[in-house]
Amino acid sequence: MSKVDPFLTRGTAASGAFPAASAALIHVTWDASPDLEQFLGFISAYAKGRFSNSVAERVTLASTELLDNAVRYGSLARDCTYRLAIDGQRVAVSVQNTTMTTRIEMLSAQLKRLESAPEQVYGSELERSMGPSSGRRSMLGLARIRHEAEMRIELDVDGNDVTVRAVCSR
Amino acid sequence: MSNLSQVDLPQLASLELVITPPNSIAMRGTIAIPDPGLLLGGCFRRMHEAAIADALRELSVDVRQLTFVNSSAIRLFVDWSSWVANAGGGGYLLRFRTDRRITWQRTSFAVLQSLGGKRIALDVE
Repeated sequence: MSKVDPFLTRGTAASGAFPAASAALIHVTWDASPDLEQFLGFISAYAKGRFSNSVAERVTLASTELLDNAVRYGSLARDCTYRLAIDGQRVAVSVQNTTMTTRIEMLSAQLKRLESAPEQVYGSELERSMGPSSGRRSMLGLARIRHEAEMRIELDVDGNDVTVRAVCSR
Repeated sequence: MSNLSQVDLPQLASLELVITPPNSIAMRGTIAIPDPGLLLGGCFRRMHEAAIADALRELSVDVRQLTFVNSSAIRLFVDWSSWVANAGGGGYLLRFRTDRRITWQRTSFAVLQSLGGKRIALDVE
């Protein structure tokens, strides 16, 4: 990755961004639309056996929402990669895929807003969901990761490749 | 026979949905399929319309054993709250029974109640 969004890592400089080369517990790459329900069932069961209930819940939620976003908004013209990794006392769920530049810029702006006021953004995203279906390309999934699972969200960008990573302590 | 008891329930391996007339619904399991609205959206709408047709004053929806949902599924509950909030004089009180130990319920239903106004009630255990 050539670029880590500095805004998103600035607030957590003491612990630093999660290293991309950390030990992977699970690393899967799809070249077609994945069967999310089956895979997420596996991730949920694995996380329950590997982590505490609290961390398992967070890992399941982050895996669900990040993969759903990648399938929904990304381009599946290229591979989509899922990674569950640990580094010391931290656990990270990351999903890498390819999308359009405009979408990456929108995502970066949304994450900055979310980082500054997670609870408010969560509430406003739920409220926005009450609108017509055309307004449903929302960031409720990311807001849940940040507010509900209380995970830090990092964004790595390399051209049109984007990696969104959710990190928490284990 | 009530309209609510005649609502067809979808078959979903991870979700059990039980209607107990005259005015109770229970959901158990998880909703993690990518587009739950396709399978469940119509059912939620029919349950809402049945509650109105039955002239219910209150409908209880017990989600305490619905342990995990994705954000698309949360929108189903947002929709339902919106229908109730906008139902006018023929509407009913939608009472969600939730478990505060389940994170998604704790965070989402409090916001839903604030958005849905007096037509949404929460029983939190």
